[in-house]
Amino acid sequence: MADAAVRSQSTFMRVINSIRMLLVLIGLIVVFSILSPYFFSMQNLSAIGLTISVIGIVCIGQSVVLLTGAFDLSVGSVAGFCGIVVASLTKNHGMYPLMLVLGLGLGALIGLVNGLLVTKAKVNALITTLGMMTIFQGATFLVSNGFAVGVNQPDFRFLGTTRLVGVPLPIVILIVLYVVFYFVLRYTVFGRYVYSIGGNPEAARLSGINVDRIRILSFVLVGVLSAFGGILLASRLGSAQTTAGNQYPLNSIGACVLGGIAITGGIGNIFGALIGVAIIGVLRSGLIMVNMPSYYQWIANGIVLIIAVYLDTRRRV
Amino acid sequence: MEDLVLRSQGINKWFGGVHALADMSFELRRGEVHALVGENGAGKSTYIKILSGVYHKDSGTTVYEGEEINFRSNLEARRAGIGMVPQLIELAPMLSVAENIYMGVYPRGPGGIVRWGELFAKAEEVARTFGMEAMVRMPVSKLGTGHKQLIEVLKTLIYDTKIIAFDEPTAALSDEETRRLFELIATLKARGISIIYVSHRLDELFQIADRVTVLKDGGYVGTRDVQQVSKAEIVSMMVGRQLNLFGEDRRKRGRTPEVVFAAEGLRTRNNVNGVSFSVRKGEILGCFGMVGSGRTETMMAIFGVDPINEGRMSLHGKQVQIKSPIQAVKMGIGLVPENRILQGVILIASIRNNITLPFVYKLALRRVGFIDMKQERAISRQYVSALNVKTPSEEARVGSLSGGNQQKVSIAKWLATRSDLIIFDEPTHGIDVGAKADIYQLLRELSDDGKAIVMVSSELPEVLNVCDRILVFRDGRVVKEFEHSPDLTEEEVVKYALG
Repeated sequence: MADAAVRSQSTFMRVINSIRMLLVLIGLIVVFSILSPYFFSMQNLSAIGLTISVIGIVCIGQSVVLLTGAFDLSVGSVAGFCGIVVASLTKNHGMYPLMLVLGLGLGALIGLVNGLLVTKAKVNALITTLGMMTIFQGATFLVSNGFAVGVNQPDFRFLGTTRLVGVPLPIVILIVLYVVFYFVLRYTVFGRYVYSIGGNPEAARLSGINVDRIRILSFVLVGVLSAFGGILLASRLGSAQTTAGNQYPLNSIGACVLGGIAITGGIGNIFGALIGVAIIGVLRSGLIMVNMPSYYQWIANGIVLIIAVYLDTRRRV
Repeated sequence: MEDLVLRSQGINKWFGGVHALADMSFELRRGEVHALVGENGAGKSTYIKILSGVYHKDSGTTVYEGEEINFRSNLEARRAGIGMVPQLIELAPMLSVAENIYMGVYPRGPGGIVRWGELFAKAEEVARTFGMEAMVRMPVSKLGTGHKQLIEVLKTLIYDTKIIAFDEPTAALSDEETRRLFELIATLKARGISIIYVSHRLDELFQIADRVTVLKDGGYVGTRDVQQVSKAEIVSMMVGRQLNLFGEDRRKRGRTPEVVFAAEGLRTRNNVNGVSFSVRKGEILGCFGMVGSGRTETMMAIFGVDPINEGRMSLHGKQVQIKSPIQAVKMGIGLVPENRILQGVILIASIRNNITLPFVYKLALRRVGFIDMKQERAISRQYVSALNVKTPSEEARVGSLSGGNQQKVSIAKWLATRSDLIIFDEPTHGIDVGAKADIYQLLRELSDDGKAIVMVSSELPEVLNVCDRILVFRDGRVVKEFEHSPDLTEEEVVKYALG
């Protein structure tokens, strides 16, 4: 009897826990809607969606890397760098589709270098990706001489500004990618390996899994997705900014962990990451709506990151 | 009237939905060595952790020296005179013995400055009891496991200690260190200190304990005088049934001469110095030797973990080179590693994911690349029931299972993979008696099925009873080979292992 009571209570708590962050998101939306009459308007919600679509895409890659038990701090620099490179090339040479592929390939290449350094050279992931972060921050300024690159070619702006039945295309892309990666992680062999390696890399290795290859692949994936995010952002704004992805590294990790992806790897659902991103987006927009100066966002983001990891740690005790 | 130093009654402790202690009771006399035994998960460790303030009980009373106690921390318990020597010794390796003994309670002067002279003097005095006074300034990392354990004992002795609880103290000790530990326990006992001795190794109880209390499923089963109880009786109290641990004697079987795997002159950088052996179809080959004799290292080389510098290997008569576990698994070799938790299973993944991991890629549907979950579930369910894994479902996380059941999952993986050669490294290490018997039975069935089995083990009774053939390892070489025989004695085998 006591046994059953305890179990049913824990089932209840599990359900609450699994939708806890969704409740937090809804709570935030309600609070900001009360504080500001403009918050809950189609226009503002759509703006929030557009803002989170880019970092949301970066978060898919970050989730995969986190699930394998590593993380990538270079996501923002890769987004910024690839955005600038594709923008300048398109501006000077046209041939946008080719440049898009080139940009994604560049992201993949940077991811490959990250992956090789972490697995084969066995350099700690923090140091590797921190180093790459700085390198490509520098490289971004180098290729742009420190100026934003404005591009007005319609094909370059297509992805970021088109609407599909009234819904901005980036939001559609975001949702499609999340659905695709949900299935990839949950039902494919690659997804199974990602979770297994994050759960126990040694046991995975001794089960005959090519752990290094999966790790490298996950870094390549996050590289491509970050590059795509950066290109999409430049396409939406009509210009590639030199500081575009500066807040991505911590925000993407914060969003993923907030959404229940374990910082130690092996546990979590990718839709959790989407909820985490949405929380950060709503917080940002809400703070602007209630007239808080923009640097409060940084403070809020830092607090959110620490709370996210705190909750993650507590879940596991 | 007996002189009780401690009496616990009706102790309950829950961990989430798990009832770890259920109305458990225990009595301890002054100056006795009292063994606490039971299967894994019986609640032994939980109880002594509650006594020493690491965990807190949910209900029940414990009376110690006439007063009810309920310690909030380990330090509080130590101050009151109840010390514990944990199973996993956690000392600061770079600090000196003295600093470790007085950790947290350094003698301090004004401004919180440590009085080093006083610290070392006090530590020397405490250490003198065991003739360790010369070591107090040495860093702990320079000491062996036996001495590290002594430091844990010394930590408890800086207070007026009445009770010391040992949690599986001999698990990591050599025979010589074990002998010294027993002498130490006798010394402590002579000083009127009561000892609670938790151990899996029943043979030890008869050497050092006065009484033994058996726990099962968190509850009290009974207490006996060691003089008046047999090992078989203790085991039947632990499992609640009479148990024939090794099953029937290995019957004479017409073994096929078909050699599945052979190694010739293997050498690695890692203590493998020219190992040659072969294992046949349907054979259980035992590998015995002391820790560091090169057994595990040989297996790691065969499985592709450690690079091989010299030597040849053949599988089913064909020359092979195995450079990684990936290749080994593809060739039909499985390894149940020594350290279940670090190497064997993924605790946070389901039983299903663990069992199918080595061959899950074969379950992917051609067209979409998705794993055929229906087939996967069926396979894992089949092995969960074949191996008698105690779980509500194959979807349960492996971390929620007991040690013995986790080990079964680690084994099931290779059965489901249909490996021809399965290497077991210490397959019964740290698991309870019931699960041990299951695993011996399983090994026999596997060999009947025609698998080739290599079993590395430090437990002689199991090597002698379960294996068809026994290799003795020493200094990275096979120094002796025995055929299974009822006349073969432990002494004979150990003689070769020690050289």
